Amino acid sequence: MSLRVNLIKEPEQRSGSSLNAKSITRIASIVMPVALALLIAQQALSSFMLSSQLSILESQWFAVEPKQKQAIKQTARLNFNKKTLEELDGWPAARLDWNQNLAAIMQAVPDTIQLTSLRVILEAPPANARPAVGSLSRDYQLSLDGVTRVPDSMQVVQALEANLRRHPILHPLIETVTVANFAADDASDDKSSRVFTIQCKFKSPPHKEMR
Amino acid sequence: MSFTDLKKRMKKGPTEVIGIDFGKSDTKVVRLRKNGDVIVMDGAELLPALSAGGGFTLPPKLKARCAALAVSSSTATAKLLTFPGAVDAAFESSLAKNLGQDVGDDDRMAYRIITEGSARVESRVLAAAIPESDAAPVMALFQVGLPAPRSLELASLAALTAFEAGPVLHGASPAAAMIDFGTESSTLSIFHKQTLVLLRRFDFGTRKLLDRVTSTLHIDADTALNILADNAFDISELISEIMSPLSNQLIVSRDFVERRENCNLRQLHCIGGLVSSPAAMQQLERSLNIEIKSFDPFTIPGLQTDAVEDQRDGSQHWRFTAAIGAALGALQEER
Repeated sequence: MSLRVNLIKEPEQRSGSSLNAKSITRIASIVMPVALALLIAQQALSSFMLSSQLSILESQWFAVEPKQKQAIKQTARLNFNKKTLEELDGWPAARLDWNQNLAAIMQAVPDTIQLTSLRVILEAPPANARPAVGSLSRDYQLSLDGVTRVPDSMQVVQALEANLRRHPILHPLIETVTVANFAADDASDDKSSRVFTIQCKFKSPPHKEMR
Repeated sequence: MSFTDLKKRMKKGPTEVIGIDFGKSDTKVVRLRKNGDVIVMDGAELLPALSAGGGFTLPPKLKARCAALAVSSSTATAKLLTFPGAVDAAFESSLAKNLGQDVGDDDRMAYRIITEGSARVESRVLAAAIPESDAAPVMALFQVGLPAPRSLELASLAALTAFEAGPVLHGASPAAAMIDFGTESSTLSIFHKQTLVLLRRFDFGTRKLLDRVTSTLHIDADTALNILADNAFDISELISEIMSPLSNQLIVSRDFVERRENCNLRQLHCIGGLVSSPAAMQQLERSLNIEIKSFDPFTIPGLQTDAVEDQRDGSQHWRFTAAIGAALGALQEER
């Protein structure tokens, strides 16, 4: 236990340290407002710079925005035109010489058969069966409707089917030949009259590479 | 943590301080600094007394930022007050009255609680007062600049701090006593179980002994001092006669403490001018039937004095007791 009985008066007592509560308070009373003012000034300057940058970027955007919209439109148009071009390119690739094919059909049809209808259906292949990008293909299907009035009409129709399959011109083109319909002719009084439908599926022509 | 607590924390105690004892004969200055758990004494100097004129200038090697001051005053008062109950505002208001009639309105007063009492336990308070006319000239020396004053004490009480740090805290016996022979008066202090239990001042100083020797032997003061110091003449009877009242008072005080505290005082440590007189010390030893020792503050445990040991005569170390005590008190300041 200290026995010191201190007779000094409070105003006389000094710490002797260059750093005491009083000096810290004095320094802080100067430094803190200055630091605060500097901080506020720095924030204000930063805000001003950001604001000016924003206005510059906005003016640049206003200049660019119409061009960007125009570019989007032109891109869409370009894509549409490309598709159209592809479609148009597909046509010559899928073209068949129908003058030869029709002459071959004419030769394959027996004399006892009267064709009532010849239809050629051009179909695009289904989406999941499309060839690789850059190539085009068209599928042709030939449908022949006819009437025969002979007693052995069934054999005649089968002969037509066989002729179509074996014809030297048609043979390389045709993939399948099927008799889709063979029935009595309701429209005729002749009981031996029969109507039939033969469907020929053409092979897909060779794919053409896109430009 | 409140702002007051924060403020207290910032009031860190000093790590180096000079202790200055403004005495009647000379000014004693020591420089102490903390170095871990030990305290190092960097310097100790005797300077001319303020009363000799010539102002006060510190040697460069003794300069520090803080100063702990001790002053000797024949009109100062120091008392160990004992009273029932706790220390309260009523005690503070009656402090001057408790210190005695000598205390004037403009005197500086302060106290330290030694034992805090309660309803059934007595309070023990060490109180001191000094006339402003004695304190002001000293404080005027430290109004501006460095060193900055941290404390002002009575030299007799500052010496107690040094004594407490030595024999009281580190002595073999639970009871320890010291007498400070001043120029005008002497102060006896007795500690028991490391607590101050008695403080008495006697109107007996070295001047009284010196005056009596000079008048009896019809010699001048310097010759009387030499006779007292070298023991060349047998003046034991004269000394015995002069010191008899003091010896009796010391015996009464010692017996009082031994009875009250149930202790046995085996040694009496002495400081002051009378320590230089072997005859006076022998007379005291015979009267009290107790071992008389000169207290050397340079031997306080934990105080390193290597830097000053070769500069000073060991028999004069006691002169720095109050200065060392004042400096120690400042270094022990609580944060």
